[in-house]
Amino acid sequence: MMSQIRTLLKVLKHTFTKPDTVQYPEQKPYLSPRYRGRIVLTRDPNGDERCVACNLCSAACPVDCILVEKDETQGGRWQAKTFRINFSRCIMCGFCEEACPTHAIQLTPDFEMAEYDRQNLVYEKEHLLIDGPGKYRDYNFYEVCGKAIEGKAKGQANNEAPPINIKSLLP
Amino acid sequence: MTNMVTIFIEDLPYQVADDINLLQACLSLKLDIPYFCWHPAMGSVGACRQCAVMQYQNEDDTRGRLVMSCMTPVSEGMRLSFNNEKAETFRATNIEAIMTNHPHDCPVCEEGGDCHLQDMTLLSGHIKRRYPGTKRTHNNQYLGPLLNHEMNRCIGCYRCVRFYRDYCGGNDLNVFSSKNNIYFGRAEPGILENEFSGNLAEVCPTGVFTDKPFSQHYIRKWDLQSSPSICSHCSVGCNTYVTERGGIIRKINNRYNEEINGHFLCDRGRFAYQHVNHESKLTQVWSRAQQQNSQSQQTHVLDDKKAHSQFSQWLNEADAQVVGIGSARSSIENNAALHKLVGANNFYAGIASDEFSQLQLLIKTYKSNQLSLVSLNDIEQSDAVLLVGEDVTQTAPRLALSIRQMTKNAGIAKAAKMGIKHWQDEAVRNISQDEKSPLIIINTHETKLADVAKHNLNLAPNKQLELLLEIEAYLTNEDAKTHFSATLLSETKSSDIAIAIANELLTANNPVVVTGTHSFDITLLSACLRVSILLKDQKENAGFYCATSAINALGLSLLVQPDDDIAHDLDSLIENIKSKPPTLLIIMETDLYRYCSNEKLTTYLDKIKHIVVIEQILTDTVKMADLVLPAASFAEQHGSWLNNEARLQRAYAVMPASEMRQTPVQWLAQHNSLDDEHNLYRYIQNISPLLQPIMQFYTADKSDFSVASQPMRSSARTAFFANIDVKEYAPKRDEKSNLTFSMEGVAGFRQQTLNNSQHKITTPVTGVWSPKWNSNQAVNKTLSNTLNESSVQDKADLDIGLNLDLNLSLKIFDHINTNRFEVPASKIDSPSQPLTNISICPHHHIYSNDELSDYSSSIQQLRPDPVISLNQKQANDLAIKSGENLTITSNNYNISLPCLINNTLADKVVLVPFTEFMRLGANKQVSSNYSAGNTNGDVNG
Repeated sequence: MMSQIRTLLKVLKHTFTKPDTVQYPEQKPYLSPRYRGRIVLTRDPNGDERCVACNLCSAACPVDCILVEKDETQGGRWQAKTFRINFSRCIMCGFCEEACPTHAIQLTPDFEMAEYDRQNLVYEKEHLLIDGPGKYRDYNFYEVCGKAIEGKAKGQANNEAPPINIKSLLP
Repeated sequence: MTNMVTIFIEDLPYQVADDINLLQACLSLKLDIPYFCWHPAMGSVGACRQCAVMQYQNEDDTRGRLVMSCMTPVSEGMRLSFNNEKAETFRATNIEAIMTNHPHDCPVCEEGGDCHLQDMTLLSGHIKRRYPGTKRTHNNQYLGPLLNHEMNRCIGCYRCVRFYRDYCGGNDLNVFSSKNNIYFGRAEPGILENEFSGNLAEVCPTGVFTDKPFSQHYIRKWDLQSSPSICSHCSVGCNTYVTERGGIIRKINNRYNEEINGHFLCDRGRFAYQHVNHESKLTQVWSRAQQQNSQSQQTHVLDDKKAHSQFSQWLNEADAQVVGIGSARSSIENNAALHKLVGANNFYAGIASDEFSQLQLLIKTYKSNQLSLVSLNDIEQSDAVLLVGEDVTQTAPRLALSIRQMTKNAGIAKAAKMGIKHWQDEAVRNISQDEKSPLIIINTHETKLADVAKHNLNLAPNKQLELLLEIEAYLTNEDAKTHFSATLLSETKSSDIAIAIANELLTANNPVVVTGTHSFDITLLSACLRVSILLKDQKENAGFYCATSAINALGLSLLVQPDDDIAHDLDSLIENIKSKPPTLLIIMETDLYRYCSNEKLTTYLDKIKHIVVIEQILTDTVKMADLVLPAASFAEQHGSWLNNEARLQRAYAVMPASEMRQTPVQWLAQHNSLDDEHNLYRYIQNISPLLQPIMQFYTADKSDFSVASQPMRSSARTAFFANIDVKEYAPKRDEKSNLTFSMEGVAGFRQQTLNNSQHKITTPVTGVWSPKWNSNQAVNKTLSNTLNESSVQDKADLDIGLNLDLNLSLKIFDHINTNRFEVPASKIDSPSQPLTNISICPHHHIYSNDELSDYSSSIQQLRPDPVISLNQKQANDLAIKSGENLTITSNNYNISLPCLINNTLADKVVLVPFTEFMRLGANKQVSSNYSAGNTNGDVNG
């Protein structure tokens, strides 16, 4: 008898507490910038694609859902000809972001990717590429890399001496 | 002889061979010792200081001293420590210094993932750069269509120049500047001249030299699916790994085979694969049908079923007379299938008559067992080579590299007398100076091997023959002297040079006669054969090697054995077509237009009612066909090939055949009742009992384990076809062998092949890899168990029950009963008469000789412009100048090409590009329009 009254009281008490439920989708929860959601490809501060198609994300992916194929621009930049993520397989583990040497691939706090047709979960490069630098504002891989590209000759990267004149007799 | 000695590493005893250096010994014991400058084929120079280990005097010695393991010979009872703290620090500091200037390039470097420097850096424990200063940089050079140059990445190990200059004899790559500034490149940017430059991509431990065509369709190493294959672009039969992804062949890697290619391939073999990716490759069945009520013809695509019904309708026509042409660039199986379909008497070899008769002669001689057929490795070990009438650098390039190594043996022997081991590269070179083992070249012009030749004789074909006959006569007399003493049979007086050559051969321990069929001169070949037989009589170890025109030329000629004793080659076929055209001609993988002039052939082919062509690529012959059946390329089929030393080898498919492509065996299976593989191999044995060992491949393919063609870490499995369908389907299976087109199955590094005396290949089947060794240098760790019976670890590996023997290679003439055969003596009609006629000889070139490599874009760029070469004297006689057109006529055809003066050419010789030479056919002569007197003679080239 007592226990039933206690139960009723408890339920009654809960009627006056603040509800935990959030009115999603009208109300959005806060997600930290480090939240691992939808994957994007970012650009460097100059607006060029950061991805150099090194395939490390693809190799790191535990479910093998990233395909990258390399292409080279006239200026000598490496670039992804194909960049495909099969989100129906992706487990949002973030290994790709950890593996990326150029901060190109980043996970964002967006998880609203549901689709009625599974085929629509296959994202190509044009679906992944965004216009900004994402979480890492200043990093530009080609500034630290030794490979010459259009607009950056040998010796013009950070911490690089000018090219050596091999025909000089000086040691 | 190699003996085993005991060495102690960390106080544990190990057995190692005593003729190798400590580094190699440790690697063969599967120890991870880092190194850069050492290479098994090039020996040690001790330049990189990376392989330091601690050596102790005796058990009581606790201090020890650092030694470079690559420079230290192994000796009985030596005590070493690899994990010693001092040694470890030394190696870590050393690599940190090497890495100071290395750019932050790995993500955009083709070598990444296949990089020896990456592996060694991690192995030595240098994982974070502490150096904050500026890095030195270098400008790159353009090195041609085969290689990229990225000098920033150089670590100065000197491997490239040692390979290019010392090993291959190239002289346009060198080292410049000094100290930190050293630069490896050319004096001026330009195309690398050597035929083996592509190996630099494998030799360079980092990404300074990388494969340029590969870079254009680049895939990381861990994604490349690969299978063991045989290079099909010349007759040597080098072993390769073909690598593929997404139906595109990406790259050819060397597959170590001690007997043949060792560690290196030629550039044709490495880069000619692009024909498989070519846009004009055939993937559909095409049929040509006469439009009713009109003259116009239309081609359209047929499906599988219709193609077969069309084909069988033509085969079974009432008065059907079916003739088939086999191909020297198609496998034995394919040729046998066609042979079955058309019958022995209607089966013709797709080989011109000149070469076909040479091949028949070779087979008869090989059968008689009077010669020992040597491998490239045997040539490298020999101490004298007589090279007759064959420009091997152009026709069988890997052979030229072996001959070049042969010349070093005198120096190595001299060094050995002083107690210097053969791998002490610098010391051996210092001792040998200019001492070279004799290489005698007899050819029409100076070849690229001339710089290491002792005698270099540029003679017209008749003179060559004359010289050989003199050598033969001298050897016969010598033979007579030793056997009967005194009775001299001096019919022919030998000239001084002939005696000198013969004596060089007689004083050598194992002389080798190397020749080829590319002179298209049967008299020269039989003279060579007779010389080598005589030599073999006197020298037990004398060897013989003959390069042929195509990978399966020898195999095809073994199959062509008609009941009637008429030669079944291309020329006799064309004669037949002229007189009584067959109703159905089946042409398999042969471009007839390479052998015959256009207009004539077209009129002959027009006489034939139906032409069926089974081909991989759109050739001129395909354009004449009524039905085109697309054939699988070498990378899409399993095939057995017989190379020029009669070694039977098997190549495996790396990918399923694309679209409607099938192997000729499969196309013909419905019609020749050879639908079962077993029956096919039985049939092959029936036509040529010599090919009986082919059965072993068939049984080797049936093992319990499947072998993964893809590496363990291959990626994008669930994304690769997701654009087509997000559902994932099972990977395509390979029914014919136990290789799978996926990562399921035994992984590469677990693959241990049989290591018995019969076939010594121990290379892993689908690519080299060893824990911590991701680059191709892992081969030095997998080539371990030579002689090493006590190696417990290997036994354990074998215990998982793998007996994969996909690497079989069998020499078919080794164990046959001798049937005596006398090589016909060659005669010169009137040797004493001065030569009045001009000989027209073929001019071979590595990049223009092979049919399929013509479709490779990077090789196309290197192809020379067709010219006719002759010397100045000849040009004066003909009253033409360099650059002017010279016309050469023949029965079928005439050509007019600009001429080039080359004064190394013999007198009375005119060199015509090989393909033009073939098309010219019989009765070639310099057009009689030229003013000078002696040009009207006709000479069969």
